[in-house]
Amino acid sequence: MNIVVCIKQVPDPDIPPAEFKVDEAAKQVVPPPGVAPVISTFDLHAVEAALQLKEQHGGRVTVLSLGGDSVRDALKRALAMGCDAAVHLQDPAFEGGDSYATAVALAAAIRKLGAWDLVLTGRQASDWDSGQVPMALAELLDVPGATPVQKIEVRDGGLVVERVTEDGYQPLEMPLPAVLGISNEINQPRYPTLKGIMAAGRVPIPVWGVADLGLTPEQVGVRGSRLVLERLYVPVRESRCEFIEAETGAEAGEKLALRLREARLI
Amino acid sequence: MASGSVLVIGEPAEGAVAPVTLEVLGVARPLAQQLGVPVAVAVLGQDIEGQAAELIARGADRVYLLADPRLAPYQADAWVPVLAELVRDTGAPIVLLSHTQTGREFGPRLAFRLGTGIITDCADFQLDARGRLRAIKPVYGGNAVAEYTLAGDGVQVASLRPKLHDPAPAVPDHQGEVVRPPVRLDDRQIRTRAGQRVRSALAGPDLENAQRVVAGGRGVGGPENWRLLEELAEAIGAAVGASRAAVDAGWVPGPLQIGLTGAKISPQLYIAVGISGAVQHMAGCQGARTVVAINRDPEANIFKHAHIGVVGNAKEVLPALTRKCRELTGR
Amino acid sequence: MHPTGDWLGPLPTWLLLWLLTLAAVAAFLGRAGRLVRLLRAGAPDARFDHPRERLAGVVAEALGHRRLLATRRYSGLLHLFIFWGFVLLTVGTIEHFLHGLFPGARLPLLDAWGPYRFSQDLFNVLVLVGVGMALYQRLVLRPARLTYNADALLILSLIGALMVTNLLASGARVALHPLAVDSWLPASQAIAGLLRGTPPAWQEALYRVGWWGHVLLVLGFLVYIPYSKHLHIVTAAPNIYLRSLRPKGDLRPIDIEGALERDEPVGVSRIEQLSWKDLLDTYSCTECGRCQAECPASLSGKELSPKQLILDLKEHLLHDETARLLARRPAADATRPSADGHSAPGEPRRALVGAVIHDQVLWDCVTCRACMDACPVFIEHVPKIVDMRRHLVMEASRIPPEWQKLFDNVEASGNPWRFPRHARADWAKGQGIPTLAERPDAEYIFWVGCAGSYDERNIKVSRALARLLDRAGVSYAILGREESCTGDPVRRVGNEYLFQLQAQQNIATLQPYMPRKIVTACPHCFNTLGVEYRAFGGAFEVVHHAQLLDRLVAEGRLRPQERLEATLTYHDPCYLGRYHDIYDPPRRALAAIPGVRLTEMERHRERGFCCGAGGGHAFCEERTGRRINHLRVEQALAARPQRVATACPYCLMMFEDGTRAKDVYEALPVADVAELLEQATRPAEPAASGEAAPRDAATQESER
Repeated sequence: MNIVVCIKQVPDPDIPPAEFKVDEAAKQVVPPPGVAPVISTFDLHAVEAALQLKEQHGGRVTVLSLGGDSVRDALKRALAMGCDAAVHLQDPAFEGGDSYATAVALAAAIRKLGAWDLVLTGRQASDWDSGQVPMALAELLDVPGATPVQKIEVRDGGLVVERVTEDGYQPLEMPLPAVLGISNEINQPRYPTLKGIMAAGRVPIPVWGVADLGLTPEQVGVRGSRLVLERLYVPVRESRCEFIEAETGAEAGEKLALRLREARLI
Repeated sequence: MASGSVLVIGEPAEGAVAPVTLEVLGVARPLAQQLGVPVAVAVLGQDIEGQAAELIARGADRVYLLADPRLAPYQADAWVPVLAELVRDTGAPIVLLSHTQTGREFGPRLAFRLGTGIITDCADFQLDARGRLRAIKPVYGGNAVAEYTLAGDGVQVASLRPKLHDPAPAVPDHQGEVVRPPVRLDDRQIRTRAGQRVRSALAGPDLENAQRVVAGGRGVGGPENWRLLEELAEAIGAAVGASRAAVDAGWVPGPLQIGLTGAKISPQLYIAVGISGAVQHMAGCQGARTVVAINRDPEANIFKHAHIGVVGNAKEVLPALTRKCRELTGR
Repeated sequence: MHPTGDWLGPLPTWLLLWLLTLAAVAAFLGRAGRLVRLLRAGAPDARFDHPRERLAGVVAEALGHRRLLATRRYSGLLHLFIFWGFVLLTVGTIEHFLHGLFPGARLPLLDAWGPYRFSQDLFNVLVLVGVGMALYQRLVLRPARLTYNADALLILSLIGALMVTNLLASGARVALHPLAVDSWLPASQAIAGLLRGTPPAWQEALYRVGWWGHVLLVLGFLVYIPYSKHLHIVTAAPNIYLRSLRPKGDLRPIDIEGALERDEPVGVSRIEQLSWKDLLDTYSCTECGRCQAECPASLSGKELSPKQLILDLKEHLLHDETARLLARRPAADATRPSADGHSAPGEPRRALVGAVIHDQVLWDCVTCRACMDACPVFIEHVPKIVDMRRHLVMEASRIPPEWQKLFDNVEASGNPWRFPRHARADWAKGQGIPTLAERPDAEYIFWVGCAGSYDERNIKVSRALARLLDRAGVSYAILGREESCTGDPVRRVGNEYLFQLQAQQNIATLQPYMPRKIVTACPHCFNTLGVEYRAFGGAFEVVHHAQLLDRLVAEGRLRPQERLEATLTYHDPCYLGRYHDIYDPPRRALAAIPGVRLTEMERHRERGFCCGAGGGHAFCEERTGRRINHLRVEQALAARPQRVATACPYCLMMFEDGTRAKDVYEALPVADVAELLEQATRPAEPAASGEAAPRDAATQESER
């Protein structure tokens, strides 16, 4: 089974809220110094799911990622975990793209890779939390898909998956090829072995740009996007603890409820 | 068919209307009123007749009932073409749905099939001067807020984060029409075969993905008080967690533990009750956006990390808090 | 009379003895040769340096029974009897054989010397006493640490029978040939007394039965030993001689790149990847269980028993793997191949890691070293465990998720909890604590460590230490954001690769500031910086704060005056105590506080009991049995102190977790040595300046 995993590198989601900064003019997040970007968590689960399928059914796992220079670290980590090949999609034209524009580039790359049976991605990325890429890929590649998926089984040349629901799951059968958005319940991503880490350093990672994918700059990046980011800001936040003053515990409880409602937290 | 309604797509539900659908309806109705168009709800599935009356009573001007055995149980391959046709036929300017696990799946597919985009997981909507949708969406785990519009002039699709808004209130004497458009569905479009939903034992929001978390530690005082926490969690739609101390004490099972060696949470609201705030616990909730600490000890570490603090006994604070929350949210 | 002076059918009995002896020696040598060849299948290990030091150890530990008598004296004493009996009686046994094998020869035997015969007589009895004590222990006392099997009873019976036959022969001999006046053989003479009046022929027959019985038992013993746990008779002394003389806290470094280039393993997944000395350890284990009786994992109900680990390795070596290891071509034996595990043909019948030794057994270890310090024959358990963990982590990627998170966190943020790197020095803000940039001429670098930097509880310790250094006029500075996890926890969990990355980074950070001294409040940092970084080019002079504070008090630079009326017990952190033998400085520093009365827990100093955090366990949960820190708090409560002091951030965290869980958090405050000294050395004017939060365990009591 030939599997393509699309991963995304994101700013470390563990940046504490107090450290989080945004360049409002550029509508970009400014990561604090010394905090290296990481692979979005759900994508690690997708890589692990692909590797387990490969171990059970044979085949090849290719990992794809779109982004700047630092993305090579993310691809190396995926290779170290056991992926067979990696492709880095990098082009100034890709910059600022929304989920759809990103999916356009990824879908073109998947087609360029040739024979594939299954595309896996994380259910959503921990930066913009949109969760659109898996289904955008399914639409663009015109194949069945499901998200968020907590279990994959290969049966009779097709798949039986469990799609996560609020109160459990829904089983779903589908033929291959298909696209799945992977949820964290599915597995525990492995830690790369030492051999994997060393071998990953030697795997060449080709870089594909817009032209390599047979696309035009209008189809990707900001210009290919269907969403317009109008504004990005950090909501006002108190860094000091605001104590609720009250005579009794019950009064404090009521005041707290009002305070939470006021802050639209409940 | 009349055209131009703000169209709400109902969450697949058996029998009664799903509460999340009413939340979306509650948000959609004022938008529709501003635009001066009706608000409509599309319900897909089988045995859905009963939903129409409730939706109309809650303010829907029109209910599309798309009944077909192939639409239940839900599967994207069947829903998306039917919905795409409905949207095209009705000329809805705005399509709204709930960002549930299911909405995550068919929402984007529908939008892309319609040739437009979708703004997912929004907290709120506004209309700009042109009457276009401006969506407010928390991003980066709530650390930032993004405001989006959709490019072009076509149909706009967006999904609303569940449990952030009240369900649409009943509108006295509201009248609406029920429309039953034909379901035109080519079996070849359905490549998947969906099974019935399976309820799993571990219901309730998943701790790691929950938007609200209520957690207790030793300061809760004992297993007999744990109920107070669960009641609060239920009242505000939160997942329940615990510190290691509470797990250690055997009050709650291990999977509830939050911390370095347990679940890592990043909710919008984290209410820590009787938790001292040891390093191993704080390592698991650094991502929490607003931390509320309830603790008897004014010097507890947790207050160094909290945004709102209550110095007090959980046994006294929690029941009042829960009661007031229920009152305020109408749940 | 001569024991082999007659005929058995056509054979003279001396010839029979020759045949039996040769057969037994051949059997022994055959088995021993096999065992030696198996040893040679192990990986190389240099253990022949410092012969004098090694020999001194053998004298103290083998001849002197130092460890055996340090604790569990009953067992130690009975072993002392049997051991010295064997040493002395072996001379007699050799004489027995010479006498029997060369019936006609006139040999210069010691046997004619009275004091010698007395010693034989005495030790025959003492060994019997020892055997009796052993049987009583095994059958009546039944301590949990022992392995109850037929082997032990058989051996004890054999030893008893050896003594009985020897005494019978000796007694009969005395009866037949009453002694010269200068000999005193109380036991033999007593037996002779019983035989008085019996016909000489009976006495003669009894002598022969005793003599032959003894000789045959000796030969049987010789054949049986190499198949039994009593192989330790042969291997214990060599094992002590060949013990590790490396610094105790220095795990074996791996040349990772070299190993990968040569396609060598970076961990142990096959028995022959252990060193020959590791294999000798398995031969030397006596199943005494002293390791297990000290092991926090065993005592808290975990799957790990250090004794069982060694026995499982031995069983695997001698049963599963012998054929495979011995099937190697002789040429391969001649030039020991690299320990790549590919030199032996075939695959192991059972996987060493996973099947023979369960993963969980390896994970259970807190690397506290209690087992190693308890072992009378100096078996090295912890390095074997870490070597197998290295396989699990770096080769097999079978890692508990919590530790995987630990690795990711250390890698991403330089601390185990993934707090931001740049927040590392936030604890020092507004405290008047200089960074090296601000005080470039500082004498000491204060290495704060992750816990001291990010954990609210230990931040109080860091601040207390900083204030003490100020008061004592010690010039110090912190590194600030440049500091990063030393890598101790990841190394002990088995991630040598990540450890080396951290080591290289920290050494590069520290190097430009050298020469300077480093002081740290964390015993783990202390060990890693001071001992383990040497292998990677970082030779630093590091003191633990307990040592420095002790010295500052001794020099009068810190004058504890504020009274602290309390009975206080000090908990020895493993990486300060057992790993570095630093027991007295923290106790002296505490005793210098007026009003402090030190009391000891039952397990203290060399026998200190781990808090439960070592070996990476501060960052994972105990899911089996009881929590080690709860046990330790119970041990502390048993000593009835009013306070507990320690000198390690992780011990402090674990202890406070434990006192909370036991609802004695208020009743039994736990504090670091530095906090108590800081309290005691506050300037007289009430300018306590509210620095320490009221929650501070140190201040709490005195305010009451």
